Amino acid sequence: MLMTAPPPISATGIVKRFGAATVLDDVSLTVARGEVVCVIGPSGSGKSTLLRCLSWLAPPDAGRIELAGERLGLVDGGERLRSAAEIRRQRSRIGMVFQGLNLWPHLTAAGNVMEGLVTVRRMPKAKARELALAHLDRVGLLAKADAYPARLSGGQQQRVAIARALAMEPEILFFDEPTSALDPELVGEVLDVMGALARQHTTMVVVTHEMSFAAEAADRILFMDEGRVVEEATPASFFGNPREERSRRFLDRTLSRYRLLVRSP
Amino acid sequence: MFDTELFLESVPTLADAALVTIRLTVVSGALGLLAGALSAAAQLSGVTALRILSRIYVSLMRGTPLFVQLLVVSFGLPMLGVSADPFLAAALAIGLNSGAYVTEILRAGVLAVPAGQIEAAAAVGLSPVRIWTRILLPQAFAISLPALAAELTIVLKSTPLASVVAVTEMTYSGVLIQSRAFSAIEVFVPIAVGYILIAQAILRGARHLEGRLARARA
Repeated sequence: MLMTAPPPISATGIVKRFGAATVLDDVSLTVARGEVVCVIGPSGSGKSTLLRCLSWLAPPDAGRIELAGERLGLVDGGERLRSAAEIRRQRSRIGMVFQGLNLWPHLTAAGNVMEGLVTVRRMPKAKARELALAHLDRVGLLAKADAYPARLSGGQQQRVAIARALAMEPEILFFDEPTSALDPELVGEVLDVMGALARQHTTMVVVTHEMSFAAEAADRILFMDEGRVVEEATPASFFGNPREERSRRFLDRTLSRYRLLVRSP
Repeated sequence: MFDTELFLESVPTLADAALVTIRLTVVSGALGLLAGALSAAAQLSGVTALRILSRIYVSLMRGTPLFVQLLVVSFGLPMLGVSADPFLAAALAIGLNSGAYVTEILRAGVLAVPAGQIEAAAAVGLSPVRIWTRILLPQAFAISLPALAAELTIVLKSTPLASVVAVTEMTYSGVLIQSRAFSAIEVFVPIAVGYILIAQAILRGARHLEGRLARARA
């Protein structure tokens, strides 16, 4: 029998309701090690909620999530909730980069990266700083290690946030529209870092509206609408020849903006 | 007529008593900050029992005179079998009283921290206690610094009430001299100046700290 490592994340039948509204309706997603999945779809389609369910920040109402083979949130063989401390330990194995710029403003760039290492991983400060500097170097911000967030551009702040997530050496990295809050000229540097991570086969799920990034970096595209996965395909097939009517309509609407840009003299 | 001799005679006694006032202000202020931080955390914890407990504490402290609170604490503690030093009893009463106001000040400061930062901390795996001590309180403290400094000056001006439980702070020390010498002006003018100087030190210190925090984070 061939023994294979369990996938970093495997979710089946995820349902999430907010009041009467069903935001996620039976969504399943398994991400293989080293795979890059881009989730796209219109706003309100449940993309961000999916990430928040998968990281247990918003526990799902139904479904099963396994983090590297370990049942997330609930204890196996029953529906008993794990202790808060266990959930935190599990959550610390999932890296999360959010849409909003939410570095902690009272800590330097290095301080932001070190916080989880020192308080969650209980690493000595000197070692945590060494590791923090290495990860800041990875996102090209070693020189800004001792700068406070107020002195960093939005793009730099998001790169520090990526370093903060990477430093915890997570099983998987989640990106929730990491460039949506940025000025257009700052989007590129963040996508460059994410593209480099993708080429290094970092396991990632990226919710994004950046179609060209999804087309280039993703191994797989997940198109969501109204809380369901409508289409799942390789980028080539999804962007070149979408199977579903809804995918086609979404792409027409989204990509026509780019075509206008290209056509204008 | 201003009795210069009495004035010069009183200064050393009043200076000693001023030290008691300063110590009482510092200890009460620290207790108030601690009580306020715990109570603000309880109120925003989402745990109903803690929230109610904090609300009761705040309404009790804000709804009764500090004078009565001082009497309750300093006569109540011995009844509970705790032999309380007057200074500590007074500091405890003034500190608990101030804590109710600090609760509201810090609560506003914590609510000013964007929710995304709390979510980011939870995503890294920080526990609720760590989120409070590492993320929320340091920022709430910086945001609330001017209001906290003002609260500390109110603590300073509450310390004369400690005389009711026999703490000889600056004002009471003046009362003792005045009742002996039958002269008020020579004693209470320097006392008033003393309070102004201490209050100025508090406000300037806070302004300085504020500037340093702002510069560090800029």
